[in-house]
Amino acid sequence: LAISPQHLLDQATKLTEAEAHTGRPRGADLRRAISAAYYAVFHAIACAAADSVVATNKRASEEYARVYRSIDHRALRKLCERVRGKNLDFGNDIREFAAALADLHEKRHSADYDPLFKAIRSDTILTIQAARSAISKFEDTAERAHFLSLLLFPPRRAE
Amino acid sequence: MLKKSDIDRIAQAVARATLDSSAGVESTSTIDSQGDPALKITIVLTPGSTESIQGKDVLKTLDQVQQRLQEEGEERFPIIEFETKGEAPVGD
Repeated sequence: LAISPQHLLDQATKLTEAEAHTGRPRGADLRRAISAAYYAVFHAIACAAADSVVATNKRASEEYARVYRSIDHRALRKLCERVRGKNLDFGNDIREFAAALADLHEKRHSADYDPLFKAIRSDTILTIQAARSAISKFEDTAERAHFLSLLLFPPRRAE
Repeated sequence: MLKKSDIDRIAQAVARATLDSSAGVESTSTIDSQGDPALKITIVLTPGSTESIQGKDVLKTLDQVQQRLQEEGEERFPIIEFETKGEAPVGD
């Protein structure tokens, strides 16, 4: 796996550690930690999506990369909103995963772009914890294939 | 659209049930990454509790706050943040 979710989570955790000379982390590090936590989940999904279409022994191929890169942040967020709504029948694991992904998506956007973002260490630590648990939920649920099929092949709208 | 007092009450009830260490809740209106109206809900934790909260409990908190607000007719997405009581943001 080229982009390891576990390594991104490890990186995020390191970024929450206090600097020796100030006794606390930098705001810029907490921003990057939030972003890395979101991307850990994103890459876990992108990898699972590509693995579901292209054989895992072809991970170095262009077709694998094409499926991997087809995962769109906004489409993923929208699917999570649909999972949270009443029209899709998913169990608690995917619903909790979707709740976390939507929250992480907003936090990542704020951490990356918002000059008014408040860098809080407690929030960053718990955001990383949430990302870690979200990946576990996603990897363990039997409904993963259903979720990925909706992400990769959205149902046609009536014309 | 729920009143702030109702939003705070719902979030506080969820936080008390899912986290052992919730000291309070504060909510404000905001705009999400899509430009839509949203909520920012800050769950204030008791000092020293952050390290003991597990990821599954955070997930349950996010899930339940979103669900309860939705059930009460709130359409704005709640962005949930945590802070320890008395904790100040750190600068860049």
